[in-house]
Amino acid sequence: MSFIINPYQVQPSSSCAPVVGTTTDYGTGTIGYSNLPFYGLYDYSEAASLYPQSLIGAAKQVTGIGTYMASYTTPYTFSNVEIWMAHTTLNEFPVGTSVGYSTVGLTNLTQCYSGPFVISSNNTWKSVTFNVNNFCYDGVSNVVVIFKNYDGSWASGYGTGRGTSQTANPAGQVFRTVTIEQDTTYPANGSVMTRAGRYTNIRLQY
Amino acid sequence: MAVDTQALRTALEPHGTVVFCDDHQGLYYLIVMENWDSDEATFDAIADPYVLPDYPNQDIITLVDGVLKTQYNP
Repeated sequence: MSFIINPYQVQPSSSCAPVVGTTTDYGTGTIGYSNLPFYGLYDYSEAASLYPQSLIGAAKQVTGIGTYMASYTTPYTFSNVEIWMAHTTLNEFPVGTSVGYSTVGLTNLTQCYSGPFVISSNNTWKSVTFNVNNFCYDGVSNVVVIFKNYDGSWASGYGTGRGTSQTANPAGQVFRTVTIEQDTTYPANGSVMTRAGRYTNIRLQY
Repeated sequence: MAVDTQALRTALEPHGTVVFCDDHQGLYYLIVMENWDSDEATFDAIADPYVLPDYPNQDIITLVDGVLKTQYNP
């Protein structure tokens, strides 16, 4: 017996939960945000969202991710993006969170996807299958998803990605998204990001 | 009442090149200027009276190397 290994298929780690071939949506908010997960108004942008274990649930091997897109002039192309995932023990992004996340205590930081992100239709999920590494979620930690837009140019016609507000009881925001955007060059490590009381709605494949 | 885009363009043009000035599906009103010759406050003083009645929330404004970008939301 011989085996032919497809070099383009991400190989699962032996320590990962098995791939079960399903999807789950996280986030029920219906408000769209122009800077989630990528901001078309600027040459470069980065957005990260933090999801508590109580939302994500048991261990799983994440093989792809989607975001809910609306109001784009289609097709709208982010030509070069990266999606990374990591574990954290934090419940929200601290004041002063910066590109590189040195204060967020990320572990198992994993590059999952690299390539284009093309929005072809609106009011639906736009998903990509990971082509770099799957992410082995441990079922215990909170999860950070980082969306990096390296497109290098801006274009009108951008729309929104949906997010879900995060508030604390009795009052106040839980800061589960950070964003930064700029032209000409990618935001440097250490650049302070803007916090917001929401997370990007995501669909995980696992 | 819709934003009078042509009048706004005319008001902005003495201060730079209007790259984009229009609404997007009623979702936001976007203005991008190049070679902006003044500061953000001057821009706001010109543009706000045209845009704010329909898009009262200026979500973002940046001015870097003469490139001014701003997005107003409903």
